[in-house]
Amino acid sequence: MLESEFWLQLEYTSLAGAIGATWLFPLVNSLHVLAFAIMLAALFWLDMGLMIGRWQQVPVRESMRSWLPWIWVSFVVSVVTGTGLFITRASAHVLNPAFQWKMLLMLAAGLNMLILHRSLRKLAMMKSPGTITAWQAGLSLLLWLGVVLSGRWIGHIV
Amino acid sequence: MFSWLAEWVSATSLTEASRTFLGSASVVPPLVQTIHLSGVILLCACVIFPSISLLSTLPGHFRYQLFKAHSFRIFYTAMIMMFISGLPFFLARPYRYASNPVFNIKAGLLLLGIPLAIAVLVSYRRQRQHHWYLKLLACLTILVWVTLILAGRWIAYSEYLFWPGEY
Repeated sequence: MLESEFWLQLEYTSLAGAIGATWLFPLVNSLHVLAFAIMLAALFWLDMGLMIGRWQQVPVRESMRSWLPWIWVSFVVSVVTGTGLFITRASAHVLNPAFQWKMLLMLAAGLNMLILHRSLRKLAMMKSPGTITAWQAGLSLLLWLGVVLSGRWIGHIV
Repeated sequence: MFSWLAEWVSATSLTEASRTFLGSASVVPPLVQTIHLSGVILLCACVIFPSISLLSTLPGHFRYQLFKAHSFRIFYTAMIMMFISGLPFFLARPYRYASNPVFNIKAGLLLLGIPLAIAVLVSYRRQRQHHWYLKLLACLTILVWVTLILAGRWIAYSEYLFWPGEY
């Protein structure tokens, strides 16, 4: 599956050509880094609040209302720009172990984020979110740190 | 601008030591870059978000209190992380960075960005009302720090886009 013709065909699409062979690549990459940094910065404030009760003495609902829109909008921008970067070298990326780790960790982090944010809606009125949520928030930060590390590693494996 | 520094650094054993460190294992360069990026993320958390909030949030809002309580410590931590993790790359190839115009712009903007960030954080500590000059300060701070973050990416891109073959 990883050595399928499909990945090569992706590279030969006009969109991949337009991104890979022009100034669009550094521009899309800049947007990717910026959106990702904004997403993790918002996630940092939310997760720290869930991990350490004293960090913010407000109901979870306040914190959610403040950070969730930033997290999800910048997540979507990161995914769209990341896909744009991926298709320029799809066949090489799918075989790159660092890229495979990045996708695996991103899937785990995304799922954890989805479960956590859904459970937060139930805990919305509580001031202290509880031990399981605190551990989940810590796991979220760790997983996303892993995504950053594997993302940086991609370029070092040729 | 930094050619004197590059000359001095390359004359010491720091360049060799940094090259040895970065080449010691394949995981070292991405790991050091991850520390640098984590610093960037913390910086977004403690400078960009407080600046955005200065444009809209009123004092007394929980986000205002949150930034007031934590931003300074996070800012210092982010700066230390970015400096420590950026240094080995500069030391390993001092001439490459010193002669790169984007690196020079980044260094120049840092001299502007640090006092701007501190001014934003001080305005939180003093619980000032939202004067027009604070909104202007917030806009300028966002502009400078976003440019700084992007400049980091463009140091490498500029080498093959503007001066291919020179590095």
